[in-house]
Amino acid sequence: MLNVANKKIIRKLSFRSFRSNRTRNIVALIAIALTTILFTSIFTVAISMNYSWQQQTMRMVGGSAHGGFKYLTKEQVNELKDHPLIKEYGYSVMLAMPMESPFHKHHTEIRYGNDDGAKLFFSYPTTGRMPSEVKELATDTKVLDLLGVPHELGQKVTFTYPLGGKNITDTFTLCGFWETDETMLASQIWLSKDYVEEKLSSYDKEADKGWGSNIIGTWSLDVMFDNSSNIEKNLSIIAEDKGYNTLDNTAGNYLDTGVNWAYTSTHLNSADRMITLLALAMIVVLIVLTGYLIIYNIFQISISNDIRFYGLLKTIGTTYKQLKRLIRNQALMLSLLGIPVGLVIGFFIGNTLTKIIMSNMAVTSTYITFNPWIFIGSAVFSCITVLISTRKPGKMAASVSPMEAVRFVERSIVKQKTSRTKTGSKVYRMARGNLIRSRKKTTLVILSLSLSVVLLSAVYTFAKGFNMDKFLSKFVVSDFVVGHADYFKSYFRSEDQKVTESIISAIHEQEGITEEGRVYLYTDLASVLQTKKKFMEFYSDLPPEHLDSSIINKKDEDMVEMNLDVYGLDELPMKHLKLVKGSIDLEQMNQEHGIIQLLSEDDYGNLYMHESIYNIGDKVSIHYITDYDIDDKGNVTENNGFDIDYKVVATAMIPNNISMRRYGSLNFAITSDTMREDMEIISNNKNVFSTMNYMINVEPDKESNMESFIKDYTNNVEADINYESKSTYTKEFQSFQNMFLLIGGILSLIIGFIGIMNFINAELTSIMSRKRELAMLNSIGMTGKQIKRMLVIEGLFYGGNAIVISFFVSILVGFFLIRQMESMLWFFQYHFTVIPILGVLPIFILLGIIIPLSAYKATNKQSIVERLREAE
Amino acid sequence: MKILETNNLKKHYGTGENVVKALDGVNLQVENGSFVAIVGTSGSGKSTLLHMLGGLDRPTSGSVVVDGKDIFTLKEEELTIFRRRKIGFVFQNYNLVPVLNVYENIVLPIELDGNKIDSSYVNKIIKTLGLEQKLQNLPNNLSGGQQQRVAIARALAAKPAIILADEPTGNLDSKTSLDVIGLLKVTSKQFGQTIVMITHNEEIAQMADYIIHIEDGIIIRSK
Repeated sequence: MLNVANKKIIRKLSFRSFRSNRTRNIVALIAIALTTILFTSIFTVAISMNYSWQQQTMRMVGGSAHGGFKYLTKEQVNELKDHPLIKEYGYSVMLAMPMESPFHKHHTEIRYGNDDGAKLFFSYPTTGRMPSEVKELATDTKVLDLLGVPHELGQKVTFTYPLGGKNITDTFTLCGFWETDETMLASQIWLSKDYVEEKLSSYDKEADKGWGSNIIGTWSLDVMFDNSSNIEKNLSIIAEDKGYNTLDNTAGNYLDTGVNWAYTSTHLNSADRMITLLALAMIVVLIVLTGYLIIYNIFQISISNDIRFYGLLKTIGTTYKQLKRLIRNQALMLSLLGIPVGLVIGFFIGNTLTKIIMSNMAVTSTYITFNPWIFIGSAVFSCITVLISTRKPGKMAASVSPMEAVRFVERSIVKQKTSRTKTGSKVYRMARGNLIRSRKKTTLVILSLSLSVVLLSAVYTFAKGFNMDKFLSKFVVSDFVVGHADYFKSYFRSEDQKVTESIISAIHEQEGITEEGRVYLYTDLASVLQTKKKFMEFYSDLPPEHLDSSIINKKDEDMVEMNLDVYGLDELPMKHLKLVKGSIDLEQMNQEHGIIQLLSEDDYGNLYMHESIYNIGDKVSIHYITDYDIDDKGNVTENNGFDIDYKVVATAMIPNNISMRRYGSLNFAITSDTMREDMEIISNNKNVFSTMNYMINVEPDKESNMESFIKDYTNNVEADINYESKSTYTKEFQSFQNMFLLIGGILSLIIGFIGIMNFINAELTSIMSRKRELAMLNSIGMTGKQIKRMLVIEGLFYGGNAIVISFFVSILVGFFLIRQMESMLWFFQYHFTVIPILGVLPIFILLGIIIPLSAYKATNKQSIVERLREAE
Repeated sequence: MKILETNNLKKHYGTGENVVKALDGVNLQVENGSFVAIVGTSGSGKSTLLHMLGGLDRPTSGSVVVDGKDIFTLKEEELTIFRRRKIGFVFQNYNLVPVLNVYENIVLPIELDGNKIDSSYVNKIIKTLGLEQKLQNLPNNLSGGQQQRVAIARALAAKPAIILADEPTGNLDSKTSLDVIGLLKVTSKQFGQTIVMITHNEEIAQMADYIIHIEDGIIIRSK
């Protein structure tokens, strides 16, 4: 019905009337920008965190390629690399992996590779270039530091590497280097193609039995596909197309492939992903709602004020559709200006937040991503919010009847009770009447203000609900726990990782120690024989496919071997065991050769009772194996073993932070005296037990001295040793808590700012549109003071109602949502609090006074006559 | 040929005892090319009649036929389009679009319709109304008489079947009023337009070809 040609005039009208609405535009622009900021920062946090995790994993894996082929010949590389599925590829060949000093401290690989290969390894020179001359070299700053070479191009680099059983020492010229990324577990030394190929030509692979010899002299081809789905399938398609297979490793045409698990493992499992997406969706809905409340209100108010204008356009023949388009055009023009501003600011806020979150999550580096989806997503959601918000006001403008336009007064029909008070203030009643006459606008402003208060209150209640005592009691049993760095990474396995006697005596000499004690661990193999039934009971929380199939097929009463770990405990750690059954008495244990069966617990302190497979008084015969061989498949051949009998005296739980910090084996504890005696018998001059950790308690006023001593000692004297203290956990706890307060605070702040903008806009427009009315009141004798009082009462009404509503909604949210977190976060405890609301109260009172007064002042510059006349 | 015709046109407001009969059975015929004045006191129903004739408001009963078309059989959206093609309005308070300049205001109805502007025709109107010097001005910078001339130009520009003028001189002094009506009459003759004008001013009404008197919602005499 309508042809296209009239769009131009609608655009012109949109643009012109847009320009004439300056105040509204500024407010709307800020509102749209703020909404976009909220979207962008949320999306940046979500996407950057995912990206940082992925990048970190890639660096730990050592590359960003989707996948690759390993153990190839040069010919195979050339054969495979041009397959149409491959979008990008890099290749490299390994010359050596030096282990001798100084490389024993850091895993380093010596290779030749092409530029793309280096880039896929995150190891491409940022200064200089890749080697091209025979005796050139490129590597990272960490390797340069190890070799004591300054970070300068042209430096001579000399080092020794093993090849075919011999050591080769050579000198190269540094032609490129790059800053080491601490996350990377290995460094690369790039050499020239000519050098590497020459050295490899005389290399006898068959003769070399050294470490890593299977990879020396083989080529790898790392590839990128269009996207990260179906990496494994694509690799096997490529192999099959070229006549190889990737499945049967006994066949002659077998190719070894690898999928970069950074692309798979960082994808959350479906349940976690659902929760994350749900949380994200909730936040998005919250933002849409926030944006809607203000943008809708701005347009509703502005269109109500301009309704005569729309009526006039209708009279001279502007159609419903054309008017709707006119409003939509204006909304889009505002978006065009507001959204880009919001994108930029939001991106910065988002990245700052991401860094704060990541630093709380043991992720060492944050990688900033300019993922276009952050911007596309935020822009689209902001646009949708704007369009949703302006739809109804647009409809209102479009469906104005030309007749009504002439008479329109902004008013919703409200049944007003006629009330007559003898003493009631007239000014108060007028103020109330003014608010009721635009009830919808008033409601939106109040809701918009309340939203931020409710959110703030929720965040505060949540973060303050983190119970430090609960948290500490879980993690801290003594003021300090000292152990090898690997121990704290749950990786204690051998003698090498013990707490050295030197550090123990150094600490022991310090002042103020009240209690100390060691936890020993037997570090060789040990097992008991148990019925298959008990075995299955112990592992009942594991899915059966994780268990040894040869055991599954046995009968219930058949005996099976169960591996185990034995702790030797001093008095202090013994005191911290949580007794479940029986009794613990050190004297008695030493005499009776007593042993304690240890259980683990979940985060909420619930014991895994299925791990209890012995009764008090049972005899346990532990088989200690101190001399054995292990073949490739992990089968143990025993050369020497001892059986020692113990009597079970108790069942107890060992606190996580003095335990081995890993799960899955049968655990027992004996006294350290018993351990020393027994180990004497079996050890055969071999160290089979070591101090796994050393715990101390100190006088409260000596805590900080001790902390700085241990910190200094472990940093400078024995760097392999690490420690945990009560204050480490306190700090960790507080920064975790602060993270939530900060993020929630910023979110509430922006939403609060939007609420206040809404309030300002509503007050300003209401005073502007009542300019004449106010002038009239003024002219018939209402003093400026009385008018101001009326306006202030109106302002306070907004703030007051927002507080009252927030108060009740906060109670509901706290009770029905936040309290439920107790069952999801073990260290969370709900406390009712009104502190945030009380904190906001004075701000709202202040705004309720200042905003109406300054708005009135702005209109009041003209004389009464001018104001009376102007409105016509 | 009759360009405008009403049949037993009624408009009642309210119900029961409170019913107000703004129009109570108006039968009216206007010949093509004539200049008709509708005269009545305030509250006589003349404004309501004009709103009905222009399709701005719907009657309680009866019909309005413009250029052979019963306008109230049209849907709202069709009626709007019919209005911008067939009816030109001139209001007492001019109702110019404040954000558009004089020329843009004049051609607005044509552009809204998506038609090409017949510039020689529009220029002729502009010249007749003496607005050549003011084309780039915004309405706020014009005097009342000038604004009303722009409104007349806008009404004529779309070549409507009929121009409805609602107290076009209500806000003008008597000298300017006579000038404006003179122009209205001249242009209507020159461009062959039909004009229906409401006024309460007998002197102005005298300039029309026909005068229709309306009182209490019915036509009491016409000549």
